[in-house]
Amino acid sequence: MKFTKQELKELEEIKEAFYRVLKGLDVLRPSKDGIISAFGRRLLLIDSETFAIPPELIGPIQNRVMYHLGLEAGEAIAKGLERKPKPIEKLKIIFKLLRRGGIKLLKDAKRTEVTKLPEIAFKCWGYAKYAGWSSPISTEIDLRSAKGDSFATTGPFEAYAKIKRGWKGKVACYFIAGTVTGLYRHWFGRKDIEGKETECRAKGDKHCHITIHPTVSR
Amino acid sequence: MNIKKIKKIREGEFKSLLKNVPVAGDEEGIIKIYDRRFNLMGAEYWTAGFFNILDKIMKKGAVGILYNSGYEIGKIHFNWLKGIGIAAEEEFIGKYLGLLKFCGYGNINIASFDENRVVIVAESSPDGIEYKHIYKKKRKVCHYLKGILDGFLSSLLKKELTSEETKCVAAGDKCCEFVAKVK
Repeated sequence: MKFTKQELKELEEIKEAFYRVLKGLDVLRPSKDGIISAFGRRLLLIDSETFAIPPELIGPIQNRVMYHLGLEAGEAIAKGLERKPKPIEKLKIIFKLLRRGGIKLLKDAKRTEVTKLPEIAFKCWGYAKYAGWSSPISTEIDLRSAKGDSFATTGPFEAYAKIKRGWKGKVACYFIAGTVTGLYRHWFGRKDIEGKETECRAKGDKHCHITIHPTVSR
Repeated sequence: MNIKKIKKIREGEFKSLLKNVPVAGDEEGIIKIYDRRFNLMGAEYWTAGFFNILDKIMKKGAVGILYNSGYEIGKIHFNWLKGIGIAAEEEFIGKYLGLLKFCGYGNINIASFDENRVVIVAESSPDGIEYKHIYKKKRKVCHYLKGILDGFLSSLLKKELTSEETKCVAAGDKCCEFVAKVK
């Protein structure tokens, strides 16, 4: 069942709160040695056009490869966001939040200490927004039927890159579809889930829309 | 080519980017460095994971795919910086290494530079470090980074350069080293 307007409003508040927390903590700032790390992982800023790898390089399996790479990415992101900081690390975070945004930012951080779907998903969409992927939302996340979606409200980097390199008339976001699927597989705790991009800006649609569904019904 | 000058320019560019470029998506979830769009990726899947998947499917072809993808981006970045108005070779290299550092590639140094041979050392190549961390198999793996550097330098010097990775963290070395020669 789709979220009601009120539910969506509350979930979007979690997304925005987490976005503000990450921005306040400035977690993407490289160290003096040029290393970016957050959530116990090393991260890289990639030129988005990298995602428009010329099809002749990998061949006809390119879209499948990108989807599978996305599955790994989704799993890694979900696990990273679940990571609990050590007590001393947590203390440092609290001080940093207070210094940079005061009580307001600390409240935002408290608001994002979520343990249940779909709040976890919207917290992740806040991360996606911060990480330059796009600003996604979901209109449905149903644990029982293992159905969900992700709706990019602004152009995701993969469609952007491919449109820039002349891709048109067909869906483009295979890596992102894989990532969203990997996230839902982790959140739902089941592997028999696939994702598909049903609408894409590269195809001329207004948004990129990825739908998740189980491959077999239980 | 003045190597010390390149390092100084690299550090200046890195600091300037830190000061002037917000490393965070805007209200639409978009990160821009100057006028180009960038996005954040986990090094574990984007470097080591990507190589591992391609290696399983394409075997030896994996190396070429990563190298050529990197080469293409290196060329694109050269033309981008050229468009910004950089003219001197040292400034080109220094600024590009500063950008790569800002993007999380760590310190990349030019160890020697003559007309036909360039030696480059990456202190903490994400390709090598993540592969070593996850897969543990000893091998040289920095094909994407090697491609980026070759693509950029080939465009700059107007000569086709090709590198050999002579040292790699994933192969047990302390750093990654690339020796680029004119084809």
